[in-house]
Amino acid sequence: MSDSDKTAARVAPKYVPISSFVESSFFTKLSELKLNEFKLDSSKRDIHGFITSPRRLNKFNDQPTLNLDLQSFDIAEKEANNLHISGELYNVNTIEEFKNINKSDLLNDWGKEVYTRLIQTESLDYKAFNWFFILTFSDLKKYKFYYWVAFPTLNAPWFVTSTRDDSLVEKHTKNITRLLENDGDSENLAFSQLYQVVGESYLDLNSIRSSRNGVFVFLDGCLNKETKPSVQLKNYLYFLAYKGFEDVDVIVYRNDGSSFQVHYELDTDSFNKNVQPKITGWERTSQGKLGPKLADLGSLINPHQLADQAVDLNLKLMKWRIAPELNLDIVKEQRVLLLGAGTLGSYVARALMGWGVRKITFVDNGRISYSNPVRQPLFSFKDCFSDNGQGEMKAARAAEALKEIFPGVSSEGISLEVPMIGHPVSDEAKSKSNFGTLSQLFDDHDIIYLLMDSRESRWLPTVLGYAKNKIVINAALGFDSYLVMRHGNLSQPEESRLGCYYCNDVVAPNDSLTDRTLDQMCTVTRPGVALMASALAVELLVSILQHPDGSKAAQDESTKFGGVPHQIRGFLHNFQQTKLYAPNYKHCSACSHTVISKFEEEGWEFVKKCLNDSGYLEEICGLKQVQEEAEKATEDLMKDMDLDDEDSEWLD
Amino acid sequence: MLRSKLSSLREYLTPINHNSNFSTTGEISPEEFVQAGDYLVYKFPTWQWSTCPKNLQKSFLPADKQFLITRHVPSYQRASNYLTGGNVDFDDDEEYEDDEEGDGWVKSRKVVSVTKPQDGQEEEPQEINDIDDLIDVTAEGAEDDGDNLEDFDDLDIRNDGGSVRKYDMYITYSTSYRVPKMYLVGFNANGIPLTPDQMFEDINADYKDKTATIENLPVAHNTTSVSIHPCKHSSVMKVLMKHSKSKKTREEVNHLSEELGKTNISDKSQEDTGKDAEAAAGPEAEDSIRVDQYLVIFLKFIASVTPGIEYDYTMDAL
Repeated sequence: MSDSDKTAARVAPKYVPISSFVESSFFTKLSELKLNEFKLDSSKRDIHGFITSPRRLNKFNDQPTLNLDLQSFDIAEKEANNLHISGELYNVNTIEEFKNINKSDLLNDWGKEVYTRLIQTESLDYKAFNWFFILTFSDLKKYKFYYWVAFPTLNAPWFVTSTRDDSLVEKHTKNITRLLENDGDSENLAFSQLYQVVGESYLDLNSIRSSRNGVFVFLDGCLNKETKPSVQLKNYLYFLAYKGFEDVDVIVYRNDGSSFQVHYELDTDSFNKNVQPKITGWERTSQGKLGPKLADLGSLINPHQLADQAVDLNLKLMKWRIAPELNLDIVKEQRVLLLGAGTLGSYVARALMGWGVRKITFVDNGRISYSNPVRQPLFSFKDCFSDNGQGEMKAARAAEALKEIFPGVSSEGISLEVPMIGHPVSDEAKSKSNFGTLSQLFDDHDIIYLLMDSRESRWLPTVLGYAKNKIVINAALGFDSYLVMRHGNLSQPEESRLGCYYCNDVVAPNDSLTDRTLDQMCTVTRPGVALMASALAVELLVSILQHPDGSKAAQDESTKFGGVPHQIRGFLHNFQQTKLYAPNYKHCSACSHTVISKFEEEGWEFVKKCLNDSGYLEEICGLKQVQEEAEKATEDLMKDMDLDDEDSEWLD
Repeated sequence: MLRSKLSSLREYLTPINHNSNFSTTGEISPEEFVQAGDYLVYKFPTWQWSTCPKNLQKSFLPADKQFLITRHVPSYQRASNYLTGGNVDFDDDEEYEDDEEGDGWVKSRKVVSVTKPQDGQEEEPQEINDIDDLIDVTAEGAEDDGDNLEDFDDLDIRNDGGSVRKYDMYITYSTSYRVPKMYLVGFNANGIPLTPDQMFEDINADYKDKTATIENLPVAHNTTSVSIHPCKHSSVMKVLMKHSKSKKTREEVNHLSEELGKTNISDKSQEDTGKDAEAAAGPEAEDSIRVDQYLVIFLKFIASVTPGIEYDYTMDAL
């Protein structure tokens, strides 16, 4: 170089820092390895990452980037378009270790490795200059990953004096472009990131001819509007200083026509090749700070959270065009109590989960028997004989099965016999405690489903539902028919207050199980009936929830999401379904004001009396009086008819 | 995830239709996808064909052309920061809206004014505090040795407030819908993967709850991505192509009259337009949008879903 250049102002060189991009698959693989392979072993592991080939850089590569992904742990699969560089993983076992480890010493050790490699290795390639290290701590429970990448960089006291020779840049850019193209897709067979220009030829790292002056071509790792090479050049510059160069021209090659030249001079006074150079190279944050990074990836790689998000997103698709007004949150928030964990309970629970309901509690006192799994989708064969051959408790197993299907659900199974009217109390302490538990469960839930297999077990929950102002949905099956209905609410106007399951009866419910044959006791139904009823029972709930008045909504009203009927009855023998409406019956044995207020006054004592003697209930609600009146009316009628008998000719 | 599994099963089972009917249905065949991909890569070198692990490869696509990818596309601000109004892609938006196809896609919107990203708005403060405790100024040697400042200085740190995100964008071929499908994998300014919620911030609010879902990237193992669900792509594409076509016809008339005026073509974009016009006048002129241009139009449409992500898609010719 000419003397005038030497006197030019010396400027401290500037470099574009390299940054790491770590894909979530890297962390997934790291967790897997930590769990199954590394365990507590924190010794160093060889990994590799990739940088984009200089030939392939585009305008989005405005900074050099090290990419780490799943394949970083597996040397086998490599993509031809990228340059692979080697590194080491140092995964420590605790966050304290990660915090307290002396980062400066660590970097120094790593730098020493790079230094030794550069000055001792016979056959150098670009990998020796682009070594990286990563210090990690994986919090596997929380899916949090602390990590810090280092690119050990050897510093030599180079300064920049500005010189430009555009014709030189242009010539070499063309040559290098051709060279790179000839390299083909095979990875770096001849690739070197730094070439010495000697005459018309380009010598790679191993053939460099030491001298005081030299011209080099550096294939940069990024495209950048500013004329600063990427920081990867520093290790090469150190190497050149080590080899005795003091005055070099570096043509920084870029494939977008923005190649440039930088002239570097070594401050020979402060350079000593026999002393290990100062090491830098911890990756800085985007703000330029020296500190590690934290990837909090629960929502990205935790399968539970992924399922959670996916379920909600899937539901939201409905709001796209079909039902923009649909309020999904109100459905999701409901705490639902299912009384009965059999066929109806299983199907209702599944449909509720489909709607995003997260809180589902089962109440049932039965065990799973061999006939159940084929009809009850939450149970399987092995449930029939586990628990010492007795079969699992239905409620508990159903709750467990829900979690297996979707861990985001909060499900619970309670083994409890719902006190049944007409079944006299034999063990009062037990019945009373069951009543207490049930009553508490009503308080803790918003929606109650009556899905039991007998008529009389629905009476107490019906009363509780009215007394505690809950939405109660009732599903009952016949052999080839079903009834799905919602119970009314005491604050509805009396004339249009919806009736309950018992409103059409003129007798109080009684024991229907004793002295019955098996086919009368069990729900002998066409198997599909339960699916139909369960589906309707859930869809009816969702429709009610869309109505601002909820369970108080009148049966003939509708929302943007559709109607809120009172009863749906379906018949499979002719495949018909009808909507019905039946207002409350003022003498109803379950939902009449007298019954509810009596229950509110006396609580268990009232329930006990009713359980023991359904005649008592009939008296309270006025059914007895109705029956008596009816009898009297019949008698009167008969009397009238007796009188009329004499007029038989007229009748004929 | 179940849904995503089901959909991959469907992808697997749906028979491949190799016949072309893109202009009438908005759908394309795998061969046309490759053709359109080649054209995209040719026009915009930021897009590249890529391959994937063998067990994930689709046999109906060439091994080295399994999907298109553009990496590290910057997004300087979130979709919610864009003030919206007007219309950028279509000349006559009313017609678009009233189209009987009117399949629920909202109009794409033009950026009227852009708010500057505010410093530090990117990260949750809690996270910063947490990780800030780990900042170690002595990590590159003792602080007081005077060298440190100098070392720090030689790195050209562009402190942009940490709001710049980078996206890897993947385009695959969906056999069940016979359209391209877009997947996004994002990173924050520090190269840390973005969570789905964070990525949703870059989806136009009008689409967020409707068409963006979380899925495993089908061309890589264990990579969670946000995908733009393709169920409406074909009908939207049909409409867009119609519009591009009519727009192009107008432009060609303009272009022609321009050329009559001054016969001097020098600049590259004009050259391109000229080339396209030439092609249009060729045997395929009947349908002036060629199938290889399909992906460019597709990206225009995706641009309205992800307004802040600055990948290449604009083309004067279309």
